[in-house]
Amino acid sequence: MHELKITMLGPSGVGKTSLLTAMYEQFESNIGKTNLQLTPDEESSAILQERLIELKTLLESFESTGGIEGTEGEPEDLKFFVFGLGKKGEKPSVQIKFQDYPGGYHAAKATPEKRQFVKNLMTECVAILIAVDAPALMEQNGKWHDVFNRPQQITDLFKTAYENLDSPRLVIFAPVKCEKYLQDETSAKELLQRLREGYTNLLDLFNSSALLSKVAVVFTPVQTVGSVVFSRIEMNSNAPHFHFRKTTHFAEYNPKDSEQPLRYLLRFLLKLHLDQRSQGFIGLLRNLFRRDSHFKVAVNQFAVGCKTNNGFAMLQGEDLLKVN
Amino acid sequence: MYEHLAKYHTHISKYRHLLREASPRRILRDEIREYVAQDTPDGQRIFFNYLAVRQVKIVCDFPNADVGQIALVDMPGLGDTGVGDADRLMKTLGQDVDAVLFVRMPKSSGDYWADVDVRLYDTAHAALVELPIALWSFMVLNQTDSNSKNGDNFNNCQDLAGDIANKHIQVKECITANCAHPQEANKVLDRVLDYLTTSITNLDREYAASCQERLLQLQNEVNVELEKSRQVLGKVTQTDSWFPLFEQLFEQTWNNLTSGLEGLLRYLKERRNSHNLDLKQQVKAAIQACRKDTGIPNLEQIEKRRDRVGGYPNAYYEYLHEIRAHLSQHFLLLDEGLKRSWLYVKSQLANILIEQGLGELTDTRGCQFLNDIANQLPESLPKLKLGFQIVSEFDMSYRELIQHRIRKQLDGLTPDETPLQISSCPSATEILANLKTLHAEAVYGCETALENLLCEPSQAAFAIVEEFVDRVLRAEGAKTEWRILLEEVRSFVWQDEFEELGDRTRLRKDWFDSIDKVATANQLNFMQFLN
Repeated sequence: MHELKITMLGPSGVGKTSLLTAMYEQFESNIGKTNLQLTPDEESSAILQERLIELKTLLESFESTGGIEGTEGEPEDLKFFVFGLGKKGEKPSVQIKFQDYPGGYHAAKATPEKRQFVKNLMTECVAILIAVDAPALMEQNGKWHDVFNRPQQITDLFKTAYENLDSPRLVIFAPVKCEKYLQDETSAKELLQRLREGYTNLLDLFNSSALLSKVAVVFTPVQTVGSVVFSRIEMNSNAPHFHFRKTTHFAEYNPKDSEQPLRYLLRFLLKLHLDQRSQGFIGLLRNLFRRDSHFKVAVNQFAVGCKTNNGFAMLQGEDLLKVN
Repeated sequence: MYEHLAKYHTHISKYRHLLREASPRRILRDEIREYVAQDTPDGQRIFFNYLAVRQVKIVCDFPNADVGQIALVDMPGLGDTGVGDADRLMKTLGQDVDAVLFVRMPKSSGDYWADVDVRLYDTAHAALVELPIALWSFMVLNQTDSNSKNGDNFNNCQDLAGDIANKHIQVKECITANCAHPQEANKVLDRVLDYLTTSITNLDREYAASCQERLLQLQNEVNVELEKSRQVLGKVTQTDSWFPLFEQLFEQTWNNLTSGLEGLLRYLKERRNSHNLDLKQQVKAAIQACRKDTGIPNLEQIEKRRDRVGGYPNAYYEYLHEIRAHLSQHFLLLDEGLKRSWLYVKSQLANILIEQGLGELTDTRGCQFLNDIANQLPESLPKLKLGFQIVSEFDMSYRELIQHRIRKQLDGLTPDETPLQISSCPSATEILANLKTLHAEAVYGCETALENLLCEPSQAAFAIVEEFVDRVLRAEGAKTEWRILLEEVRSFVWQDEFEELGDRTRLRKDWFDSIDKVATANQLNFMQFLN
């Protein structure tokens, strides 16, 4: 089976696993009449199930505290989440592998070997998902953004990884815990604006002449729980504690737009196929869609549902995402 | 005089009660004597009420209705008068009286014009200098017969009447009459009235002419004094060296003023984006107070409130209002920090101006100095006046600068705006959790918003001082206004260089203004009341 790799960048605890949990858990209800199904492999399923229980337990109390436990992960600890994607009731046509990429790799102390490892990881991925801690970006004029989201380190990673890029790539910015900022159009616009400001250097890199035509950049703010909003930051021993609360006392787990990153991903892949590109992993895709035209139709249906308002946006590379 | 006072003192217990009563006091005819006389008809000295009496007005029907209204003013006899009676006599004669009757009862045993008589006449004479008392006074010699206590004094009356001219007691007429007989007394009155009827117009005219003359004389005297006043400060000696010296000093001051003010402005500009430490400190204290003193009720209190107001939602909404009000009051603390920092900037500004000599224009310092200068500047120096008004009238207060900008953060604690509406099956626990969360969010919101405002006082101070500098230094014509101002106050600003009094232009101006005002009031046509 074809395997597509996606790297997830972002600090531990930011909500990457929650994002995948929501994507998987809500997939059925979000895809509408599209004839697709998403199936995690056994190990991934166990982790996601566990996380789902955690998330729902979290919702039993009115308030909760979030924070970053700076996991200095090692390459061996690398977590994979593997999903099969295919037509409903059939064997998956393609395997999508999300690789969680703990913060430790991009710490300053990383050895040249580690750096190389990361570079390879990122280079072989068709898409990179950057999970952004939205409260860190938005609150208190973004004073926690650098500490939590490490935009400069991420920029440096891309500088190395996307050097001499030979084929198009998709970069998905996925702000998480962003429920508070998607309450109305004005605050959603502000989120978008702050994202642009918070990642100026990275966006400038993508916008450089060498990468502009090869990198599509999208913003997909995902409400990974839906019913929990950021409440406040309280300082405790000089460390920020991010408090969250439910929107009402009886609110339940209700993620929103969690399938959007996947929609963008498939749309990107479909477009690559349509453009008859053949470099690297794309050659595999061509075979995939050619062999399985029903799957291609389903993917097409699914892909057109990409949102482009209320915080969602295509920042560059629209051509790489144009399917109709 | 001492005896008079001793009498007041000795008998105070007898008349003190009258002093506490309302005045005037109305009394019956039978009581008149005990208020005006010292003795009873039979000579007993038991009356002391008169000591508390300033004036007695006796009103009665006058049989001679054709004459009109007549007032008889009976003055105390000379020699036995009370305190101030002599003054009162003068005043009454000078202002209220048309004719004077001097009444004298010569002793039958032999009498003569004594000093006391002459003194009384002189006193009366002095009361009205404009009109000789000879034209409006009569001497009445009270003739008594042999049946009276005094005995027959007819001859003595003759003697005195004959001798009156020798004593220079000049009266219109000397009349001898037995005043104990009403008919004779009436005759005296008739003669006086007849005289007045025929002469009063002439007397008035003469009196008015005399007053007019005195007034013109006075006006003339005032003019002479005013002319002297105009000269008293001497003439300004505009020496050749005056203007170059002023110009030199002015340029120097102008340079110092511009570099001082521009320097302050640079200092404020550098700091305009940095946090104001006074405000930061107050914000920290206010936020701590908010967190410590939340005003959030406990479960028991919520239950009680629910019972009292008839439901959890009602209790919830009430608590939202209360907690919001409780929270916002903590921010009033910020006022102090804001005011302190603005006062500091004002005093920096004031010091620059004071160092350049403007401190000599007022004794006040700091912000009051700026207020005083703003008030002192004349309208004819509009740019300077506006500049000083802008800076002295601007105030930094919590209400003006901050309140409206953090108000939004309290929306969560406003029933219609709150994001946490109460559920359909509410409980005290839910209310408490909501209140705690909303309170904490409001405090966090305020803290964040205030953090963004910490530069505001510095920015506002910079803006206002820049506005001031624009008005007083950079605006077209500003330098000219400074030149005019400093030229006027040069003897204050550069005391060593310019003479003290002769050159105190402002003082001179005030002095001449005052003289002009008096001269305007003293114009001849204002004094002319007779055509």
